[in-house]
Amino acid sequence: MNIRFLFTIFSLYGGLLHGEGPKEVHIRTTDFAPSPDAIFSIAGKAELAVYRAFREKFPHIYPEGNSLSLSLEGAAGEAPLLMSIAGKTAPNAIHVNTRQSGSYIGRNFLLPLDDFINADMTVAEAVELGIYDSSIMYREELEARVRPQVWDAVSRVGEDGKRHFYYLPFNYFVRVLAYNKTVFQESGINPVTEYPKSWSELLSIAKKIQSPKQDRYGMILSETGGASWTALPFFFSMDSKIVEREEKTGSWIAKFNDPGAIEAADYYLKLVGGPWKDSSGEQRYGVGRSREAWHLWDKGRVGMALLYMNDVLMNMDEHISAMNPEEVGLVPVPKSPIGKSITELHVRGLGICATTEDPDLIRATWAFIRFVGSPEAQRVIVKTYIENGYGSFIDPEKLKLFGYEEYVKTVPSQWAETLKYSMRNSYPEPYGENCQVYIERASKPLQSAFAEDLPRMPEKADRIARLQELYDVAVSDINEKMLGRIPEDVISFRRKVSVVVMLFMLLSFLLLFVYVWRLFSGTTNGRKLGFKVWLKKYWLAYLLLMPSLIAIFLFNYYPLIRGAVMAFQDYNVIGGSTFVGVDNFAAVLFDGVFWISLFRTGEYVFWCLLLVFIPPILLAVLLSEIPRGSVIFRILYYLPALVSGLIVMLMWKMFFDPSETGALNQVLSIINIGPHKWLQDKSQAMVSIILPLAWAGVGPGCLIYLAALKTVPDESYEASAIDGAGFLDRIWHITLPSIRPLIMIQLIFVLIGAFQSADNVLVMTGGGPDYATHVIGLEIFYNAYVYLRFGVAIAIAWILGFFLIGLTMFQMKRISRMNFTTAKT
Amino acid sequence: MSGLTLRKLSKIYSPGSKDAFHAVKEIDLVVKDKEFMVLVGPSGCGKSTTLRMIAGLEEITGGDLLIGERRMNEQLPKDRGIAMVFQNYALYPHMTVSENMAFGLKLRKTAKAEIRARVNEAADILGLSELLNRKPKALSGGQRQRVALGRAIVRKPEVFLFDEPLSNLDAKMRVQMRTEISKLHARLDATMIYVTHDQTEAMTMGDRICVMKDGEIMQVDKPVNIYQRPANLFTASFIGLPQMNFIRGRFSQSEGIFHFSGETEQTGHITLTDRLLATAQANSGKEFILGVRPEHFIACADDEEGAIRTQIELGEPLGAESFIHVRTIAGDKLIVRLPGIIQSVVGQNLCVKPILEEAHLFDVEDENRLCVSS
Repeated sequence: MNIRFLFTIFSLYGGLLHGEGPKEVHIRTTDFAPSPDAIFSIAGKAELAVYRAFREKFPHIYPEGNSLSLSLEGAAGEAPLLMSIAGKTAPNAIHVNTRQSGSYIGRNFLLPLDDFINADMTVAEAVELGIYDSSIMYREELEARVRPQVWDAVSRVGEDGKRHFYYLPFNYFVRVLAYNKTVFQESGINPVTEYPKSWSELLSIAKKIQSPKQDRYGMILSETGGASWTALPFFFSMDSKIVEREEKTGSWIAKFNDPGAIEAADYYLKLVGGPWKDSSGEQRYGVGRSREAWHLWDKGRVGMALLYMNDVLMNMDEHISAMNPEEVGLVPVPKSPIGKSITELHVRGLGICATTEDPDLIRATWAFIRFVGSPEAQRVIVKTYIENGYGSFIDPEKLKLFGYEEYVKTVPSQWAETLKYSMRNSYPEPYGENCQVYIERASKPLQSAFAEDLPRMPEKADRIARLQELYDVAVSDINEKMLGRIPEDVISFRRKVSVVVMLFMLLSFLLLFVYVWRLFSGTTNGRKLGFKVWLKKYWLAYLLLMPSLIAIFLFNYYPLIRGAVMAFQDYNVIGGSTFVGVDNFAAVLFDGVFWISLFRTGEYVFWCLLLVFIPPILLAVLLSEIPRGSVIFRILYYLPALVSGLIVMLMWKMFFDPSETGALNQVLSIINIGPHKWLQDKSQAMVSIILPLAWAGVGPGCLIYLAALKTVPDESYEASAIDGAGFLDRIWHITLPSIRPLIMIQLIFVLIGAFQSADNVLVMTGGGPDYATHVIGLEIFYNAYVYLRFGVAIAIAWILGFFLIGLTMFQMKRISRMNFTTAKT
Repeated sequence: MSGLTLRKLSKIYSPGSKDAFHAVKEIDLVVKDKEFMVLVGPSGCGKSTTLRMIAGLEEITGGDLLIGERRMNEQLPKDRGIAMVFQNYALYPHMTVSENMAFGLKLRKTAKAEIRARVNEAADILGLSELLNRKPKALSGGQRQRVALGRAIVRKPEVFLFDEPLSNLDAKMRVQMRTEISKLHARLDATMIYVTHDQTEAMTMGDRICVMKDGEIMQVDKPVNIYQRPANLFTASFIGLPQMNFIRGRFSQSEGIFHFSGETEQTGHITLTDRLLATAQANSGKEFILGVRPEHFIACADDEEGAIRTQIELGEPLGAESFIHVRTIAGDKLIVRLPGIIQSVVGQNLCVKPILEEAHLFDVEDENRLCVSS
């Protein structure tokens, strides 16, 4: 009786404890979570302050960080988050920037914020109607938070005709023209009055500065995959929006081939490589610098660059903050020939990941994303900046808003005006579906133009004509591939071709299956076994095989079957997938990049055979021949294998530094060979990727052959010596034939491995430069995790499998010929 | 065809180091043209090393090797005009029988027709015609060894070298192949050097036998001579199965009696006659070892002149003959061969008597056989 009484008391007490206040919620977020290195940067400190303020206001919500430490090259940089979404391990609050937003929304990655945003009503109206709820964001707060230019980027009008919001910005950046006043003075330009206001001024000022002999450059320009990003303000200033939504259909269409875009592109060509003569009459090309440009900027050797200004801390960009503020001029991007200066507005925001299902978590995440961009949070940020001595670099409007008027006078007025002007005169980055890859795609025609030396073509009309061709191709490619705009008659033809190809593939797979079945079907001395005899003889063997059979089925064949279905779907990680028939295969077979990647794979395989497959054989033969010190040599060759694969790649990436100070270039300089571009050079990139594989693989590969060579009896060599064989005869007639089975098996492994490889390419070059290393494995990766075209990726994987059928048959035949015997007792 | 001369030939492994090992010690040997010379001796006696030096597979540390009249020390194996058959056949596993045989000729750029003719001829001789397209792994041990022989034959070398070629075969196959190699020698009329540790092979195959021990030659002679007149205790003990019996003792000049060494006066004695008596007298005052082969004992009565009293320790009836292991009173162990099946009883006394005409006296000091020139 007493015990029951005590139990009741404890239960009540416990209930009271837990019943107090809201339930504790832990959310995971990509931004604003405390991290150990936050205190080392001013931005980190500000984020930490926001985090603390949030915790103070919402003590029951614990935002936690999410490790996305995997960092990838180029366009693949955004893949890790997508992979975590696909794997359902993504954080609750996920980072969204403008160019990703279209895909995230289209792919249902983001939860619509309908329950939390009421754009139709102000707070006053809600109070009046008696429906006010503090957890809802009403119109005035939304308008303050979302600038008018990005209204469309953060929301979509759904089929119901209503506008749905998907993420909230917490930070805005605009691109402006930054210039180094010291460099200007050095070049005889007055930095106060003579900064460039138009395109022609930009070009002439850059020419005045450009003097490679003095290690001084006009401006920072990009010639590679980032060229279209660098040039974006020029395109915007010519009123070309890259991608636009068609009013009639609501679908997205690439438009960077309109006359304005071509004019902008031609201007950019001129900046990068246009011919001109300097005051001494010397012929020069271009007014910029692309390689190591940021390093030179920080050293104060570059005149101008297009850099981001933040809407709160104007010098947040590290390339501005690292300089003496007196030395940096920040002005709007120069006006185009049509008199416009429009720059790029970059938005950083947070949305709720659609994998979040728990209503408590959703509410907590909403509270978090609402808070981090709120005036409350901005007040904390501004306070943190001021306390850390950054008062002079804060947008004066924010200073006034939060009561720090005394600092307004110290802010450079040029900066403040530029920020104000640029914020008004800006377009957001392209934000249609699949626009996350626009930079890479829209850079293609520029890269081709550089490769063709188009900037040096004297006649503008010729240049424009050629540029138009290049851009037309690129636009139709992006429209077709990314935005899915293909004429009906074309798609119907492609479908027919795909059906034929698929039937052929299906037949091949069936034949392979029959072939393998015949090779391995059980016979004893050529007689087929009856089922009973078979069962009696082998039941234990099959019982023991069961666990691995189940594992292989679950982890290999089940995904394969699922994959087979996905190849016929427009697959969505979240939300429904639609059946698209053979369209994925049609997309692959008629995609130039796929065929390029196939060709590159062939090239990759060739170099793998030459540099990865053959050297271990030769090395093993040589090592087995040397009379002394073979152990030392074996250790020396094997040691690289102890370094993990990724580290080898990263280490070699450092060796391949294209500058004169790069490790390999320094070695070459000893024998008077000038610096090579290695990974940045189309003709060398492929070999450069494979060199690390050769370096790390020769030791272990050689060890396998050495072990095999030990089994060749000495008498065979002695007999051959008596038969009259010399060194080469011996290797050719005795050594190599003796280890031939192993060589064949290794050959198959290397070939299949080479066909499938993608990771090392991704780490080293990301497929570039200009698709020079874009192997098929990488094309699969990009389609899946960057373009989010999982169905297409799987279709490519099946086609790759089809190409490997021949090799597989050969391998199976080899294996079927081998004798596996039980140990003799 | 040509003979072969080894002049002060020696082999030292790791010379100059503390691990230096003298495997062959300045041996002299002349193998006559077309002769079948067998090198025989226990493991580690240097016979294989000698053969490998002849083949060119081991470097010669000292001395000269002449094949015919030419000094061959520095020549490569392929230039020495030799062919070798290895203990484990050393066939090339990835080549067919015919390719194995043709390999040496192909390397010497012999015309294809010529190669085919020679391979077919060798295959005919060795009965391999049906197997020419098989790989070695599809052959029996005997067939493989035949292929190895074929490979040597097609080359038509000046000297054939055999390194224990029959060791890996079973007993029956060994007898068969032994005959075949002997026939082959007769047919090819070639110089052959054959290394074995099997004295039966040595006795049955060789024109002459070279007995080796610890890197030195003990005796070179015809098989019969080696058996009947072993030059020393080692040869006497090594050749003959079961081996020769040795009884240690001292000759009494006054009595003409050979006294067995032993603790007591009663250990036993033999009265020497004729050749042995002359030999003993010529070397009087020395200790001797009396050597008698098992078949040179006869059973005798207790009181018969020269009878040695022994006790049976083991009997081995083989059918046509029996080997009886006995121990003398002096403690010497003897094996005697008696005709027919002897039902011996362990512990039973047996009196035996040596046939002194066939017995040998050896010097205890230098272990050489003693004899007087008649």
